[in-house]
Amino acid sequence: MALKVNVNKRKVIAGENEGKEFFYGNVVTDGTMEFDELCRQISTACTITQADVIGVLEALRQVYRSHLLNGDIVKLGGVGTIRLTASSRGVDDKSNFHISLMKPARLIYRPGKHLLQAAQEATFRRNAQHVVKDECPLPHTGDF
Amino acid sequence: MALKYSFIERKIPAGDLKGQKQWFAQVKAGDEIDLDTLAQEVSGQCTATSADVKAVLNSLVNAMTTAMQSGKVVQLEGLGNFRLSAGSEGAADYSDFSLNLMRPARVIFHPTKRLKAIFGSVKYREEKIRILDVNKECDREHIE
Repeated sequence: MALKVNVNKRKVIAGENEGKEFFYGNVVTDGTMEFDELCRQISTACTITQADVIGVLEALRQVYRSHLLNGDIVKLGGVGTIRLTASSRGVDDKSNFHISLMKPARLIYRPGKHLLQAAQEATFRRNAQHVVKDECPLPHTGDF
Repeated sequence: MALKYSFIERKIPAGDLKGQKQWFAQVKAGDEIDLDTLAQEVSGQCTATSADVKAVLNSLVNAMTTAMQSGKVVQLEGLGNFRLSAGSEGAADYSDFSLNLMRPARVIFHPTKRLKAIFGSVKYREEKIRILDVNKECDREHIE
């Protein structure tokens, strides 16, 4: 149980080492956990059946949807908080303002305590299959 | 069901109109919906009790953290995808790179298309706030 890390060569774009090539590690994802699998795991961890878990999550969706559209901040337990926000283009005078000047709403997510802790406790492992880009492992003429 | 907004006067920081003042609408945060309220409202929409809803949310976080810590992307239907990500400090040479250079992991969230679609149905209403202009001269008589 650790995050998979690929190491790649990258040019440094700013700072004292600008232009030099350094090696950086990056986390890569390792497959997905789909909704059904998530529901199955939840139902094994508590007394509620898988079908009921799906029902709860579906009802949950409807509840937070209406709260979001109402401008409320929704706390989803340890998962985090979500809210909608939006701002508008500017006008010279308040009386010139029209609702059509509003930019599209954006969803703001802030991870909760549990997920932040999970992030902090995450460990890393090197991806053994990964080959560094631009680094060909074969010997070349002129190398020696 | 609408997002509340109020007006603020802001200086334009860049572009042709730099330095000029314009009025902008800014969405105000609404109430905070905590876990108890959420659980109660969700239980009203399905056969589960509010305690069941809390149990589901609790197990949800546990299942999510385990999957995310092993590098998986968690698909939470109707909300979005969650994953952990991290970068590292640079190493001058490939052999210098070690996992100690990894920065702490962060929680990344991508809302689903369906959730983004609800942003299209956002409505707005102006929140009337009386602003006291303290710099305005008062024309009433004062007690010396």
